[in-house]
Amino acid sequence: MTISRQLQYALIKNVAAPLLVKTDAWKSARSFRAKKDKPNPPFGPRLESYIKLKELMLEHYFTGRYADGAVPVAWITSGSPVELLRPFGFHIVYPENHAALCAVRRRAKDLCVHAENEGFCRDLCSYARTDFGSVMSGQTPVGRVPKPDLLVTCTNICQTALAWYKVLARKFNVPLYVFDTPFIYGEGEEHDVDYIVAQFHELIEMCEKVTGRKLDQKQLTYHTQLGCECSKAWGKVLDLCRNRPAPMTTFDAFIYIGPIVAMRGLPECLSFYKFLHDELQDRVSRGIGAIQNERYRLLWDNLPIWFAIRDLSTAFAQGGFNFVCSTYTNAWAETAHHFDPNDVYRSSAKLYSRIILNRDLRNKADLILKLCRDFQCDGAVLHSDRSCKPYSVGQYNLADILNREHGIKTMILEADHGDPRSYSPEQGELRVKAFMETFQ
Amino acid sequence: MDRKAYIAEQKEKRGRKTVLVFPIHYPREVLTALNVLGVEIWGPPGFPRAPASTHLQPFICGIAHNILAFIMAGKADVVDGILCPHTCDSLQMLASLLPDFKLTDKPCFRFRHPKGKSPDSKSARGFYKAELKGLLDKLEPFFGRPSEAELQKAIGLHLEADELKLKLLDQRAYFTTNDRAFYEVLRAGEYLWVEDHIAMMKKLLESKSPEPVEKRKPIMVSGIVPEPMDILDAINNAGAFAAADDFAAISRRIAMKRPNPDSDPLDALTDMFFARRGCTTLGTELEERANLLLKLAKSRDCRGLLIYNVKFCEPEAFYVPDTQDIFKKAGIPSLYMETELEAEFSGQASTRLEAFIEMLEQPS
Repeated sequence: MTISRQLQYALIKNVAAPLLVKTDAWKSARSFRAKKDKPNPPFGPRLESYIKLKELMLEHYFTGRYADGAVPVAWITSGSPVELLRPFGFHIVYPENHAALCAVRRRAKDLCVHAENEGFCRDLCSYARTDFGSVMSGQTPVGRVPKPDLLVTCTNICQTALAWYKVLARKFNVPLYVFDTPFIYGEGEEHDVDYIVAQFHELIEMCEKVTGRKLDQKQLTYHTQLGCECSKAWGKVLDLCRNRPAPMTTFDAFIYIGPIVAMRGLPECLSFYKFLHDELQDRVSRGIGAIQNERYRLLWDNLPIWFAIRDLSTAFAQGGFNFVCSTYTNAWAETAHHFDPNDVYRSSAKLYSRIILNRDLRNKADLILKLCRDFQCDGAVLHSDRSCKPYSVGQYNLADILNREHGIKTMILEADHGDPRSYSPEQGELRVKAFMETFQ
Repeated sequence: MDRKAYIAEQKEKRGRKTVLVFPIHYPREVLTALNVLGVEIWGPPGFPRAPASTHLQPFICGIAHNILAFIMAGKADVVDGILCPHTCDSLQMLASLLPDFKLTDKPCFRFRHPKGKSPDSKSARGFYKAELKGLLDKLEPFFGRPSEAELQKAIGLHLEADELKLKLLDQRAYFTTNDRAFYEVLRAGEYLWVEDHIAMMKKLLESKSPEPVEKRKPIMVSGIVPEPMDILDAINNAGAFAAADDFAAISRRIAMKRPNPDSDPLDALTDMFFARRGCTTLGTELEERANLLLKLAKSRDCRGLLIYNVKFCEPEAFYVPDTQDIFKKAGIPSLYMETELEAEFSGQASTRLEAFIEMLEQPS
C-alpha cells in the first residue's frame, strides 16, 4: 500500500464519489419525477428505491476503481462469509455480481468469447468465462475492477467456484482461501459444523497475514450481526410479495439483490433495504401492484437470465402474470434465522452451509412447495440453467412433483444466466406464450 | 469372465455383497474390510440414455447420464447398495436425485471429501476422518462393522495393489502388450476383489521384457477415464503409446506415500487420501498439478500430451488452458479432445488424433 494511493482513495471515497453520486442522483431524481405519474404499462408505477440502488452500486464500483494499492482488496464468491473480512477493511469485489452486471449490460458475450479464445471451454459457467474475459482483456462496464490481494471461494454455491478461483489465483499470483462447506443431507452432521468453524479461524489467520492487522473481535461481532440483520431485512422485503397484488416482481428483486450480495454486513445495505421496505409497504397499503393487472402468481427457480430480464418480465406482465417469489432471491434470507450473537462461529457455520444450493433435493422440493403455498403461486417457471448444474439437476423431477402432485403448473425454460448464445429468444417467447395459455 | 458373472460368483462362493460405486475418490479399503465387493461405474457406454434424459439435462456430463441409464435399465439390480462420493456438482446432485425422487430402491451412502485443501490442513484431515467414521456408521446396518485388524489388512492389500499399479505404469515401455490390454489390467481393479486384481497385475508384470520394447512415440494421457477404450487403440494405431498416465480412473487415485504402519486405520486412510497425486476434482493447486504432470511427462520422454475429457466435465475443463500453457512453454505440444462417452470412438476424432501424433517428434 502506498501513501499516495491511500490519499487518492480517501479523496475519491470521501469527496469525488459522494459528489458523483449526488450529481447522478439529482439527474435520476429529475427523470424519475418526470416519469413518476406517467403510465408504465404493463407495470405499476416506478420505484424510487431504484435511484437509491443506483447510488449505492455506483459508489461501490466507483471507489473500487481506486481501491488496490490503497486498501486490501478481496475477490470473493457470493456465498462466502464476507462478514469475516469486513473488520480487516477489505474492499470486496464479487466477480459473480460483476459478471451479472456485464450480462445485463450485454457485454458478457464478448467477454466469454475472449475467454474461449484463450482456451476456456464454452461449456464452463458463463460467470467464470465473463470474469476470465474481463480479467484478460481489462474490459468492464464499471470502468475498472481493482486487482485482488486475497481470493476467497466457498463451495456452498458450487464446486465450479473452486476451480474458477484456482485459475484466478494463478493469474494474479495471490493467496486463495478455499472455504469448503460440505453438502448437507437432511439436517447435516455435527462434524460439518466443526469443519466450518475451524475454517473460519484459518480464514481469519490468512486475513491477518494479508493485511498485517489483528482481528478486532468486536468488529467481527458487529459486522456479523449486521450481516444477519441485512439478510433479515431482505427477507422482509421479499415477504411483502405475499400480498395481492404483490408490490414488486421477482424480476425487480433480481435487480435489488445487488446490495445483499455485494454489501452484506455494511450499514448502507441495511438502510437501503429499510427504505425499499417502506416504499413497498406504502404500495401494499394503497393496493398498488408491481404489474397493472395481476391475474396469476408465479415462482421462479434458479438464477435469472440476466440479459433477458426486461423481455421476460414484459411478456409475463402483459399476460397478467407476476413472479412473486424465487428460490434464488430467497437464498440470501433463508438461513438468517440460524444466527446467534452468543455463538457467532457455530451459528454462522449453519447459516453458510444450509443454503438451498448446498442441500439435498428433498429440501429443495419442500422449500419450493412452501414458497408456492406462502406466496399463493399458481405456477412455476424453472430456469434450466446451462451454466449452473447444481441448481438445475433435479428440476425435471421437481416440475413433475409440482405439476402432478400439487396441481402447480410448471414450465422448464432452457437458457443460461449470462451467455445469450445459449438462449433462443424466439423459442423462449413461444414457450412462455404456450405456458400462459394453459392458464386460460 | 464378465463383471456380472464375477459379481454372481463372488456372492455365491465368497458370500460377498456388492456395492455400486460412483467415481472417483473413496475409501475402497473400507468395503474390502467389510468383505463387500465394490464395483465402480464410470458411465459405461451402450445403455439407452432416453430414460435417464427425462431426469437430467443434456448439459450434464455423459458419466452422470450413463450411470443413471445403467441403473434405470435394471443393470444395478444385483447390487446391495450405492456409494456416492462427492466428486463434482453433477454427481453430488445425482446422489441426491436417486434416493430423493425414488429412482432406485437401493440404499445410497454418500461420502463427502474435502475440496481444495492441502495435505497439511488440520481441519480438512479432521473432517475426512470424521466422514470415514460416518461412512462406517452408515454401512454398519447393512454390512456390519469391520474390526481394526480387518481394516489394517484391507489397507495393506490396497497399498500392495497401488504399488503394483505404479510399477506397471512406470515400466510401461517394457511391455509388448498394447495399451488397451494394458489398461484393461489396470482398470480391472474397478470391479475385481483386490487380491484377484493383485494376482492379475503380478501376472502382467511377469511378462515384462528386460529392455524397453516400445518403439512408438511416447505420449502422456490425461483425463477422467479412457472410455470408450477404443481411444487407446486409436493412439496405438496412430503410432504412439501411453507412456505416462494421468487418468482420474487410474493414477490419480494412487497414494504416493505409504502411511505410518503403526497408525490407527482411519488415520492411515486419511494419510492415503491426502497422499494422492493431485486431481482436478479435489481442487488441487493448478500450477503445482501441471508442473507435476510435466515432470512425469519429461521423465518418460513424452513427446506430447493428450487431454481426453468428458464433455461438460467442469472441474477438468478449468485446468486445461493453464496445463496446456505450461506444457507448451516446456516444448511439449498438447491436444484437447472431448468425449460424450458414446459407444464408439468417432472416425473424426481418430483423424484429429492421427494428425496430432504424426506431427510429434520420434523419440531418439
